[in-house]
Amino acid sequence: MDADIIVVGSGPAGVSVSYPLVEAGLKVLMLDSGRNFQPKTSHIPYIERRANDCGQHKWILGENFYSLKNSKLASPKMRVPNYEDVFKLNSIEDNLITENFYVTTSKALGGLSNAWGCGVAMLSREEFSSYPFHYDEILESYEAVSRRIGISGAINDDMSNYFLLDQYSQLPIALGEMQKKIYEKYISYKLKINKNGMRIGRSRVAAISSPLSESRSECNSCGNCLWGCSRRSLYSAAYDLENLIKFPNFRLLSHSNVKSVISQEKFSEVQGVGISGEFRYKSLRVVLAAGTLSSTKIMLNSVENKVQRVSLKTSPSAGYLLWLPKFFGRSRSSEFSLGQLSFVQSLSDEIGHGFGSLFSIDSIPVIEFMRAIPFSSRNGLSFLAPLLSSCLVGNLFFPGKYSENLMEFTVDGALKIIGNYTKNFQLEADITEKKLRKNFFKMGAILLPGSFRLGQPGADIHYASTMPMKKNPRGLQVDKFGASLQLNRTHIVDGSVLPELSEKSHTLTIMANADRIGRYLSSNFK
Amino acid sequence: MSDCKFILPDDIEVVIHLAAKNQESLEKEDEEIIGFRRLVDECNRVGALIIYVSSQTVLGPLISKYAKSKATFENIVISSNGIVLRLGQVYGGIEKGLFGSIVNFLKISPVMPQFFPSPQIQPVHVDDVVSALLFLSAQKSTGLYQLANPIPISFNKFLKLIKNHRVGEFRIILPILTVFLTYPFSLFKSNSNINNIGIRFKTLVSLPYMKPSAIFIKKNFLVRTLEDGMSKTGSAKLRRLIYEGSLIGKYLLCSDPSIGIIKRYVRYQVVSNKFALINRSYILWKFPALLGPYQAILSGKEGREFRHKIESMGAIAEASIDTYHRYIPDCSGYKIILCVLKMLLALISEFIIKTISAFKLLMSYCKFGR
Repeated sequence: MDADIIVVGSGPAGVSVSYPLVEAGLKVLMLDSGRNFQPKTSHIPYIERRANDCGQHKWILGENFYSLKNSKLASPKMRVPNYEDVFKLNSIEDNLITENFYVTTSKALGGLSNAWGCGVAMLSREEFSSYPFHYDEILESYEAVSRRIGISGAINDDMSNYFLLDQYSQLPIALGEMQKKIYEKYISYKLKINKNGMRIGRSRVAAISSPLSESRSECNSCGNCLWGCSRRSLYSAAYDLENLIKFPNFRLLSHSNVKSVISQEKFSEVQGVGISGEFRYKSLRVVLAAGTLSSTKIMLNSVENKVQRVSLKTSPSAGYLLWLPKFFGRSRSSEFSLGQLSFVQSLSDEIGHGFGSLFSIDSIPVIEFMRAIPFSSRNGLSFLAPLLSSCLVGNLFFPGKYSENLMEFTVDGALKIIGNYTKNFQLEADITEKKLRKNFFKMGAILLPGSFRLGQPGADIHYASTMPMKKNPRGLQVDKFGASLQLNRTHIVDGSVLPELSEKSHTLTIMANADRIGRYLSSNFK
Repeated sequence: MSDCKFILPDDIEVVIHLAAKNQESLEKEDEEIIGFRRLVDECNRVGALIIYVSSQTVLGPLISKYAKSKATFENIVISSNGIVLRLGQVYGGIEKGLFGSIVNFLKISPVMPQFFPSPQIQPVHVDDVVSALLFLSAQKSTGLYQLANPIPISFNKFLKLIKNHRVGEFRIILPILTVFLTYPFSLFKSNSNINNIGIRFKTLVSLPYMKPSAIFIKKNFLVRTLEDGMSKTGSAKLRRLIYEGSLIGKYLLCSDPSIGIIKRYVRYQVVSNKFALINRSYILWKFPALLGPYQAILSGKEGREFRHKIESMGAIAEASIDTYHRYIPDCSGYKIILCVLKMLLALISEFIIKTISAFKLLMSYCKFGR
């Protein structure tokens, strides 16, 4: 036996399930297809680097023009050369075909958490109604994970009851002047804005405002969030890996691409390809935490009764530009570039919500916005460059119920993902845009015409719910501990087991659920 | 030479004769012929193919010793079942031979002669000559071949290209009537060098048209542009990319881009295996803003590629301290008025561009309707 438990995947779910197992003394072997990721970072504030660094093209474009060669990737951070390994999809190697679906996978230890937006939220008791276990069963895990990764944003505001995280959070990171103004205006016109279905408050993010450990310092608002944080203020699962490998009963093997799991009578066998060729490792249990797409693929490869097609949920997303005329002529400054303010906006059914955050654009290259406006390049630059210093960029996530994506195996064994939104989604998005426009206008911000753009299905990278947890699971569905019906001794703990996908950031829930299952496995290990 | 014992090794397959008699004062012509015959005989003895490189000059009046010897040697080779390759005006590569003499003259001379009427020449690049020789060596199909640009160009244009690509400096144009140039040189019979130039010029003026062999056209040996050929590498790809990068940079930045920005642009195009899309244009260079409407009316694959080029330059230029204020302008205090004016100007300019592209669209609909 190579280990008591094999964990596949080193991202947020993988490290979260591993902690309770390792702490209980179980021998854990973690396999990940990624390699060690060491971002090049700088402690010099972004604006200073832009003004004075003669070699800035190396970190903005990449030595081999990585940024230019990948101009079609979904968001600016995916084009950052530092994250070349983090957002890496090799369609041929991964044997993946897509149709109207944006897909990315990671080839770095720690997975996509090396460059995520750090958005975190707890699900409410009501949102847990579709889960096959009691809400109280996950609270302990929510707390453990929140305290481990470090969350900031705790303040008594209108979003406290939405995020539900204030009891485990540090104080918020300083607001930039424009977002401060928006918030002040919100307070002034709160009743009217609330009546129009919007609430605003500080973002709760996995970025720390006070030191968390010797290796992680508080955010100093240097504006390098997008390019690589030198202070390690932004959480990454790679930091947890550094702690996990200190345990003698934990072993990590990188460059190990797991293909399938074979369930034998008394043990399970994990098969795959590593640097030195094919490998097979045996363990008493296997935990799949490779991310929704990879775990689903491994499961589809492993089960005997071939399931040809599964549904895949994503949170449809949109991006837009807000202009604050009052700040026209403002000088750019270095500030925290992830979500500072967050909001919920009621949707047309008055039950669901859209969730969004506002970001400073001070550390985003102008060229990213030029791609989106219908101007010729020179005029676009002349028009946008002075305007952008008084703009903010916003995002908006819709509940997963508006997505209708499918994953299926083709005849030649490739995995095909077909992306789609529901028929009523476009109308819902149009109505929500109007609501946002009206509400932001009250707060002194103009949602620039034509800037509200819906992302391609999958561009949100919130892939989930392919093998949901159910009370009475069928087919590829799993039970409340992520245990597969079709593959003995195999548990799934990543986004693929979420029964529903709300508009909220789902990473913290995935981590808490993985921690919960890890606790269960460690105390019931056979 | 007549006393020399000349033996070719037995395993030689091909002998390429590139030697040329280019000094009119040289004597002992008969010995040259004897020597050449021995070489041809040796080739026959060991079964080697001889390829003799001749010249377009044999087609005209044989007034120079150079042309005469070429014609004589051609006959010897043809009768010995060898290959004769006649070349037009060889240029390019290292500055040697006649091409080198012209380049070196223009480098030191403050003037650039322009002849009226201008002689017509059919240049051929030295690399294309090599390709043709290798091809003939491999094919071994004996006979007479001709390699020269199928479309003659004026000698004046040839000189201008040399000045632009090899000298790169301003030269005063010196108009010369061709008729005054060809005869006075014969007065300097005592000075062989001057006399030599005179005879060569006479030969140049009286060059008849030489039709290139069909096989060379079929094998694409003659597709290189003169602009490409004038470059030291034999390709003006980089030069054109530098021009394109400078022009797009000027267009985007409203000022000359730094060398670093152009270098990175060119490097990106090279690693992406892209060629320049924009040809040299005086008007575009003077008014780079015209690239705006050009960008708007380009459609299809070319349009997408062009937009990607501009976008690439936009990103490359932004990642430089030289352009900091273009991308992050200072609009504080009174400068806010300038910023507003610039934005208004951009809006007006964009309105004009959109009108032009709408007009173009309308025209294409009309065409389609007809």
